[in-house]
Amino acid sequence: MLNMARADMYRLFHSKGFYITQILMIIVTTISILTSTIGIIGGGSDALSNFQATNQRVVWTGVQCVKAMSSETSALIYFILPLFIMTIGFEFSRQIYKNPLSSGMTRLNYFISKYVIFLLISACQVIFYYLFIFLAGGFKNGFGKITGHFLIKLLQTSSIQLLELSAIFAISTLVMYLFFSTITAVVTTILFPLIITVLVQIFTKQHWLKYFSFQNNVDSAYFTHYTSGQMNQLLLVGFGTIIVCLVLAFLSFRKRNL
Amino acid sequence: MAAILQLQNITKTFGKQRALNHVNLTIQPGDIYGLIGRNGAGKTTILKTIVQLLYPNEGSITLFSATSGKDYTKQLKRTGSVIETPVANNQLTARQNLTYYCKIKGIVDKDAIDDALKFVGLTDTGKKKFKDFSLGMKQKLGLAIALLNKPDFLILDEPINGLDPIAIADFRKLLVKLNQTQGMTILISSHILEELYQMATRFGIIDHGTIIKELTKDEFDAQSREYIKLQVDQPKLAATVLNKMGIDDFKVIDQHTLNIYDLSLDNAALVEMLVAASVSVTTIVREHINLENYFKSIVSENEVTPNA
Repeated sequence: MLNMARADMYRLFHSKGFYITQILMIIVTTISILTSTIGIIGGGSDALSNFQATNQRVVWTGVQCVKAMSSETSALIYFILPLFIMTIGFEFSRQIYKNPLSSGMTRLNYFISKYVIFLLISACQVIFYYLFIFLAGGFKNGFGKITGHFLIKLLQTSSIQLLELSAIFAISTLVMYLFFSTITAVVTTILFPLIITVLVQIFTKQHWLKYFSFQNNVDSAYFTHYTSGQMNQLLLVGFGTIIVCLVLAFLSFRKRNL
Repeated sequence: MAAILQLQNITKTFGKQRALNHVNLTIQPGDIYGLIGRNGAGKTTILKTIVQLLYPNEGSITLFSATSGKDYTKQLKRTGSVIETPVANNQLTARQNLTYYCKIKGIVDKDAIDDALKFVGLTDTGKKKFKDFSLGMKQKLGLAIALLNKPDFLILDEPINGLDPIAIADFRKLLVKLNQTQGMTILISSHILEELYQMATRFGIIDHGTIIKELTKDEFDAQSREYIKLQVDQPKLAATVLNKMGIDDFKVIDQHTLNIYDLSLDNAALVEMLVAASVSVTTIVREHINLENYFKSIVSENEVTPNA
């Protein structure tokens, strides 16, 4: 797995797509920070709108930037998606999987390696996102007061966000392994969160749906005050989605004719 | 010495279609085994089954004495393969692609990349990316990737398809060199039979998913020796004349044709004797069977008597 990770990182750092993605992310977040404006991707909730409105009225120090921009973190779907394509998508669309699989790598090893590497890259992207926001905000208006509470809250928020983002991409991974189609996986990644957001707004009495609204959960991770029971359900649905999707993806891949 | 590869009763179906039908095949160390067959005969399916891109429905495969499970997968590390079209990362150069695969395979030998590039003649591709390579360059890079870990057994699927004549000759020289200098065993599928004849030491002919003939190059050469093709109206009488002339190395092929393998025969004298015996001669010509004709005749026989 370590070998595969080293190879994938090498490939990523030698891909123009990687640098274009990072530059785009920097541009988008820089514009938000410079203008102190944040938006909602794909709907959202009243609580989210209120949180954003409140944050837009205060000075954006580094700490405040992190708080405010946490409600726009679902934009990372679009900045992790190219990395998903470069790490897993190209393997299937260009049949690059043939080389490692035909020279002694088991399908389980390959599957786990690919997913773990993608997960690490996603985690790095979340860290890079917050680090950049903090530094950009800090250079603009000072870094603000970093309290222990803030750091714990940031750790909790980014962990939940990584989990929810991973749940979205677990569905993309399942689609990728089922159809071997990058386009289908990309469309699913973009449409699935939007469809769930719409369903949540239509079927307001179906409270369980909100746990599958991964995109909204990403954006509201910082300020949402879930009860411990609700938090357990959120984590359960997130982890459950990841495990179910990955198991199904592997079962489809394990004996597949390649 | 133990066989490198042994396929026993391998059957593979796709839905209702049977792609491989009880295939048996053995490859000995040092062989350059040429797998010959028409499009759709099952060549690629065999190769994919060997490298576990496909799993057979029946039968067993033994590779370096390992038959199944983790042992078999482990032994695949001793192989290198290019199945169907060569694949690599489009956005990377030849050197970068080899670096990528060195990392995957855990190869730390610093010379491995230069050696592979030099061996296949891709040292001067510079910053050209894989997506901009010609088919010949892609084939060469595919071979370089397969050779990175210095495999004991090389598996190549139609590696000379789409190459120009010079590139084909270069490729052949490369493979023969690998076989002779490094003792590498090679399994190669192709339907460019003249090229295959020049490099292979054994041949397997596959048709409709079944190996219908296996023979060594020496056995083939013995069968393909030059002969005189004689076409007459009365072959039995012609055979009597030949016997009277002291010639018994001949074969009656059909109602009009005899193949005479004794090339010391004086054609003019033979025709004179046949005419004197009231045998009408329509054709007398020197011929020999090349691999292509041999393949055609074997496949034709199989069409008449399938699975015979």
